[in-house]
Amino acid sequence: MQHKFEVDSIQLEFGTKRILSDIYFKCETGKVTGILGRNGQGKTCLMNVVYGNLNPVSKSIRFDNMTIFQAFKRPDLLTYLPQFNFIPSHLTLKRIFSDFDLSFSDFENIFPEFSNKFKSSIKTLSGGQRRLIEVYVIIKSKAQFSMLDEPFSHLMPIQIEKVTELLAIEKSKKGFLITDHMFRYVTEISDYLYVLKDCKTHLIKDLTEIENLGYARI
Amino acid sequence: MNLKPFKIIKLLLTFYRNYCIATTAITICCIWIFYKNGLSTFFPLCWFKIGTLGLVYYFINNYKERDIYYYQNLGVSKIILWSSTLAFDIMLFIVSLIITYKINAT
Repeated sequence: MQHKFEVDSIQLEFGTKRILSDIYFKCETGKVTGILGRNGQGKTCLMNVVYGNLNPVSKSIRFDNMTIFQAFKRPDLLTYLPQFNFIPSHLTLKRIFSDFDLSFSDFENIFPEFSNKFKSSIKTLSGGQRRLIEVYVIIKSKAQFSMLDEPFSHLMPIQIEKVTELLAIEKSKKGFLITDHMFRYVTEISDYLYVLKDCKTHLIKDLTEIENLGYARI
Repeated sequence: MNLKPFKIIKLLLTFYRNYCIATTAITICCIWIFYKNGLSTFFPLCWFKIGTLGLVYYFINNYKERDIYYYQNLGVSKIILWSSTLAFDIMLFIVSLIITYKINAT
């Protein structure tokens, strides 16, 4: 059964500054939705509003037409990879994989460089390795949807390729909402693509629109 | 994702680990003062404990703010994290005071 998650009617203001006002996007299981936008356009704020950690003036977030106000209380529906390191630094990989009910050997098969790291704490890993663990556990988390804020930052190109392959496999089970400035990877894997500009989401039908909206040169 | 009670407790203990050393040290100090000075110090010590817990809440919320996403992704909200661990810490404080009072009385 396909599940759908829709977001609209978001009004977010910080004092007199309007951040988000005319937002609509949808995510479906089996699909990847990409959101692009220049720095400061409100991509991260949008994700935090959706997740329920930021309270806007108004919002409508629906999972299969059911309104959810605090999605963070429903990890079966939505998980969220923030753009910063979020795993407590003293935890071991063994503990992290156990918390998320994931198999470390599956991870090891894709990323053999971690084979002797099972009992290491995450703080002993490099920034890229740490980010890879975070990206992996959220992609593989047992939720209907996952939001990924800058999943490719700090990763090597070869790791990014593996992550995009993983996304392609995992999207058969769930839906993804992705934002990242490595827009070529985002456009490659996205089924729906939006550009966030002037507080609004613009659905992209042709890649040249990205250039017209002033985000990147194609 | 239905979390098992054992898993929730494990996550709560992981979060409590962030500040348990500081709050336990404060509790031990309070118990010592209560043991030496008796019942008259009960209310000032309670207010002292509440005040220090307020400070702990402020500092942990600032320095460990990012870690909250880990617990949220596993189904434990910020409110549950704080209410459970603070309630446990206050309970430990009160039980320790009662035991100290009983020891003093005998």
